[in-house]
Amino acid sequence: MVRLKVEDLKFSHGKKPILHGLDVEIRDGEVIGILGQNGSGKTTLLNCINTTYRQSKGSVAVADFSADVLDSPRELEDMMDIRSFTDTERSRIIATVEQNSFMSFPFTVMDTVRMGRYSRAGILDESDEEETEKVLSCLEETGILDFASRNVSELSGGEWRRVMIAQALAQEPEVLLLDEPTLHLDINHQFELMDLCRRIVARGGILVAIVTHDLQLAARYCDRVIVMREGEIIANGPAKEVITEDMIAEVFGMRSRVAWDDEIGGMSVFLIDRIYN
Amino acid sequence: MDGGKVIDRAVRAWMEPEADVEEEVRTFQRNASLKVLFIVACVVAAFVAVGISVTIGDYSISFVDTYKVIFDHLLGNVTDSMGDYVIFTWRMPRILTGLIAGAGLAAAGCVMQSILRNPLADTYTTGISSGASFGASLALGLGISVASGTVAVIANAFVFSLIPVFIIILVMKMKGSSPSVMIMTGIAVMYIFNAAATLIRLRADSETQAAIFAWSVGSIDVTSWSAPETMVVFVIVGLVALMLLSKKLNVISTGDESARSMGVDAETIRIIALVIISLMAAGIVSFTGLIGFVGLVCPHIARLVIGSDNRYLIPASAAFGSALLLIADIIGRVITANNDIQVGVITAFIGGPMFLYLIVKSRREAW
Repeated sequence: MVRLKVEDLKFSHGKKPILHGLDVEIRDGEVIGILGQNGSGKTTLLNCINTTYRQSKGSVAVADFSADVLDSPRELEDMMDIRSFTDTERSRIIATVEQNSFMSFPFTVMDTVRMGRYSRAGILDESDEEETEKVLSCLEETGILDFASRNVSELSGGEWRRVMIAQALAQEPEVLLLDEPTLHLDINHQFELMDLCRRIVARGGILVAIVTHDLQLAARYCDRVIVMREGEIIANGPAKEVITEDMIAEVFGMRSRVAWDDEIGGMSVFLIDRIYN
Repeated sequence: MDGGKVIDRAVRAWMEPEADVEEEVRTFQRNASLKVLFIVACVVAAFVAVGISVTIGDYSISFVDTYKVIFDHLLGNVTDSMGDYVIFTWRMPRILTGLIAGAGLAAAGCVMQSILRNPLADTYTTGISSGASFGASLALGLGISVASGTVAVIANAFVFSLIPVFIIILVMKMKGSSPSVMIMTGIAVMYIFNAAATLIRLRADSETQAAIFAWSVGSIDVTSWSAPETMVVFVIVGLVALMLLSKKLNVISTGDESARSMGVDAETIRIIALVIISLMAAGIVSFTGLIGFVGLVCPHIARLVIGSDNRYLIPASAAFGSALLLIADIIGRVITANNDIQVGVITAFIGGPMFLYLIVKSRREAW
């Protein structure tokens, strides 16, 4: 039962402080939404968790991950700081789907997803049945099997996004970080993607953190929501407690109507207007 | 697709959910064998080109006989001693130089494009060419070299061609090793070296100027075994090292941050690959001078045919580069009687139109 714990996390770009001591804990089987306006530090938080930004202060640690991620057996502490892992070890625990990624040269969808197997399969090649099976199941899960042999340069934005998610799943991560995964997706695929997130966590052994601007999707699909403003977490709790008309007014400057909806079995968020003062 | 077919397909997908998967896997495996086929075709083309190339010269040997003489020699059972002498003393060094240089330059260009994520990159993008030119100009024009005697120009070109790379690595240590830092530093260093080389050329007499010019155009016209023997070490070691990196190079194509997420440190790989490419290219360029185009275009043509997977693309580029360079050399020697046209000129004349044709004809968007 994997856990991710962020304690007193601070990060600065040069002299400019971005994150001012964040504390978050995310548990197995949770889909957590990270909300906040542009520049509030959401993506920076993800980048500190996945060690893209190495110079962060404070601790980012994981506990109770499966032992097979380690290259060499060693004594495990209760909480292992994420910076104590090697690149390959870390990539078996954490997978990130970036907001903007592109392929510089044309690979097939299959090859692209297979790259996610790099840290697990190492030098195995396509003749390995078990590996192929794993790649195919990732393709199937994200609904991109139909164009597995197509070139990634021929894909639409939404298709490409699903390829990136399949690639992250191929890493068999226990922590999945998604930076605005629904961006560029049509409405149908946005819901499909969030359903996919729910399906993944339902299997257990994985937690998902999603940076998003979509309050509607966050309210509906996230177990828990974190709201960030100017590098601090100002709210952290179950979606239906955090996403309120007051919070939306205060943080996003929007008038809204938030209500429980029996039909969707969750909160429905309706944005009305900007608040002018 | 008409209505009936849609229903058929839906029914089939429902009845046999595995059918689509199998088809995808089959398509994928077919693609993999196509890639191998392309490499084999290039090797065969190079093999035929060797035979043709050996026939060119004053002492006449027929196309079929050339292979007989070559195999006799390799088996240590020489029957035609005159043919053996002509081929292995005079013609083979040039042919092998062409094969080795073509393979090395194309593979190096291929990897340079991958690590810089830039289709316009080639072996020379990081200033190897300007460093080598400056080193050669220094030796030819002013007689200043790190070595003396017959290897003065070669040794100087080799040493100076590596200076821009050292500068780039220094800058990358300070500013991070993003592709744009590499390219911009490479261009800055290139201008400095080119200016210095021009200064030497301006002060040289016309004979020296001609020698420097001839060097800079690049040719595989060597008559001693020392060139191919030295080059082959650089190229084989380089190719093996690049092949070992090929999976990591694939992962880097998704961008530094994605690569990091998948467990590959793009910055480190970029520096390692840069050092390998530079040594390989320097080992070639110091003997042949600047043969352009092979490093830029061969990887692209290979990529259009077989896709971007570096595990296949590196050997395919190398095989294609070998064949192209040797064929270009044959054409250069056949169309003029004694005054051979430099091989770099011909590669551009063949490769350019071929490349244009592929850009226009290729259905898939390659970049």
